[in-house]
Amino acid sequence: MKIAISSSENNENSKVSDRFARSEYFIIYDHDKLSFEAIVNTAKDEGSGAGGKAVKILGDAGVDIALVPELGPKALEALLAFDIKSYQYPREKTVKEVLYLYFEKKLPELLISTSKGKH
Amino acid sequence: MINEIVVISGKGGTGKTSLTASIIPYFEDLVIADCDVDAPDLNILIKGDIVQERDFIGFQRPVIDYDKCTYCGLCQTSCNFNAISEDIIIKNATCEGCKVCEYVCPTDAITMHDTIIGKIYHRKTIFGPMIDARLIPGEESSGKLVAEVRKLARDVAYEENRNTIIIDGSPGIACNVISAITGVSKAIIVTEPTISGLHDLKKVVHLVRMFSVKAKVIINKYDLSLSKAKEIKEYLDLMGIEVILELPFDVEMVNSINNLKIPSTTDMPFFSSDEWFKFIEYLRK
Amino acid sequence: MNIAILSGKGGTGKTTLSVNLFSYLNKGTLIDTDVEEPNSHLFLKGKLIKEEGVYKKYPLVDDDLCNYCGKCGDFCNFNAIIPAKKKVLVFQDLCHDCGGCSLVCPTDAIKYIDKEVGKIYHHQIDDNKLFLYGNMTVGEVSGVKIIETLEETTKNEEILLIDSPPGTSCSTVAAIKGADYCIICAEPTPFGISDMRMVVELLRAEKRNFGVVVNKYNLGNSEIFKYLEEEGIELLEKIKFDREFANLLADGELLINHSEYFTNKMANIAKKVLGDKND
Repeated sequence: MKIAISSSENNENSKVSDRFARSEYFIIYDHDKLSFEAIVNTAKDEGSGAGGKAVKILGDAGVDIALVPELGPKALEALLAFDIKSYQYPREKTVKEVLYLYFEKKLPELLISTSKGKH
Repeated sequence: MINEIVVISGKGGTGKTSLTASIIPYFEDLVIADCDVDAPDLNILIKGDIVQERDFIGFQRPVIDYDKCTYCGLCQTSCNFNAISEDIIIKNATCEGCKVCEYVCPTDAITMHDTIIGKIYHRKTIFGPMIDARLIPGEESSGKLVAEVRKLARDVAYEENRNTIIIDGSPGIACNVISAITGVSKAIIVTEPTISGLHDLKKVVHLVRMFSVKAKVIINKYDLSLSKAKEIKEYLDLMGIEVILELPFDVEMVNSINNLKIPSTTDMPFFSSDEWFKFIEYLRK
Repeated sequence: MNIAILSGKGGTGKTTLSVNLFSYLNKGTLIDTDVEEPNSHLFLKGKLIKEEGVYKKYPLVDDDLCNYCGKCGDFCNFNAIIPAKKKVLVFQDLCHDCGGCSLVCPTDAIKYIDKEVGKIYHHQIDDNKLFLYGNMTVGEVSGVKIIETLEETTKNEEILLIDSPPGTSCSTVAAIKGADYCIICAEPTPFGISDMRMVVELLRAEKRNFGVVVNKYNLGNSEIFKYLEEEGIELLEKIKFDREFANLLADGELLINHSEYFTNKMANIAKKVLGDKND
């Protein structure tokens, strides 16, 4: 199982990002290998449609679960289409902290979008 | 969380920029973002030295290698934007960079190259850093440039630990406005009591609703038509949107712009009124 | 003869100039290409004779034919089509209708269907005048398609006035495409001059003939006149700001019906721009 977390920097001790599609990095936690890997979020510089593209990056990386601060309607629709479940984390934490919160089942699952998307 | 305030107006010329400039002196930990990239005028009042200037690459555009081109015309007929002329010349103003022409070209004569569509300036002003931008006249994609100006403003705010971003948005309702309002904390819509003002206000209200942006309205020059001002208030009442400020028409407003002074720093009586300070208080929250 | 009326910034009186000049003329057609915020129709009372939709195409994926190869998503520059695991997502509002996705699709699974992006309204004014305006649907990103349709519909008019969108973006370029002459409506403030410069730059790049009408000249300073002289730009007319005008405009009145001063100004502009074509 792979879990993606939007992050402001490139390691598991970084602060989580307060945006999903335009975060700097995604930290991918591989629960089978117990390892972390950072991927640069190339969708963040898109003029429009960053949400869909960001999800595609996660989908191509084989992610099963995404921990996010917020979600636009396009990103949510795309996550559902990629069979990726999403959970909302509180701000100002680190990547590791929100991951623990997820395993403690303390993060709410997102089934409707929390923000309106950007063009 | 950063307090992002955007000032917009459906109709141009309602006094949006003059009012944006007027609220700036009341904030201490501020980043200014001029997102009215078609008419970036804030720097005329908020003077600042350019600290950094860089090109903005909007997208990629096709370049034709005429040594390889056989003038088969396939690119011209495939282009949905009429951006290639019959004598196979790219019309930059209409090209949207979709790269269909590159794909269909049988002789690989077309390649895509980065295109500079504008410039972004980082200025230092006495009120704080300011990001503004200029689009090369006739270029499209101003939405992208607006998104970039906002992103840089946020970056600066994080770096320098500043808690407020004031955005001067563009008039209208297209991509540049959408880019300017998405995800902000508050939107201030500046309107005027004219038939056009009301008409355009309705469209902007529709837009801010669509993007779930919290908005309040300023009626500028309200005494130029008390009846229209009343009509605007009735409409906003119906929509459940608060009129947070009503400003009278005052020639001093124009005079201060002509003298390159921020209106709220002159001795116009309105800017020492209770309503004005109440409004500033609302913005600070 | 096609005459575009434009302004760098909004609120300079571009629409006031367009509708009053049009009403002054003996014949001709006016199109309002400021499709984001069309206002001309608020001043012109005519009979609605036709209403038509303007459509843009967007892709529709046939799930039975699609083999989920992902080529459409890789090609799309606008993130409008995203192939996921078991379906292909299409975001209509991001699509630019370039046709690329169906071009690269190996199984012919992508068809295009129509989506309305706005409307065009045709009005008959008096017996010999036509007025058309476009209105973009709120939430659409670009009005260029509507502007192009407006221009296409009226390309053979003898006298055509084009009320253009403010600014210097892609929609302004689309609006002035067929213009033989451009009138810039400017106001004499530092903002007005700065915005006008950008329009002048654009018109020079597009190689258009143009002149300037300075509106509300008594609310500014003389910088604008100095600028016009230095640049060798023709000053067509200057018009004063008057509270009474503001009041009439607020109620959607045509100024030429109420003010001799204003009528004379329109007569003068028409003569300078159209010569004897208005006779």
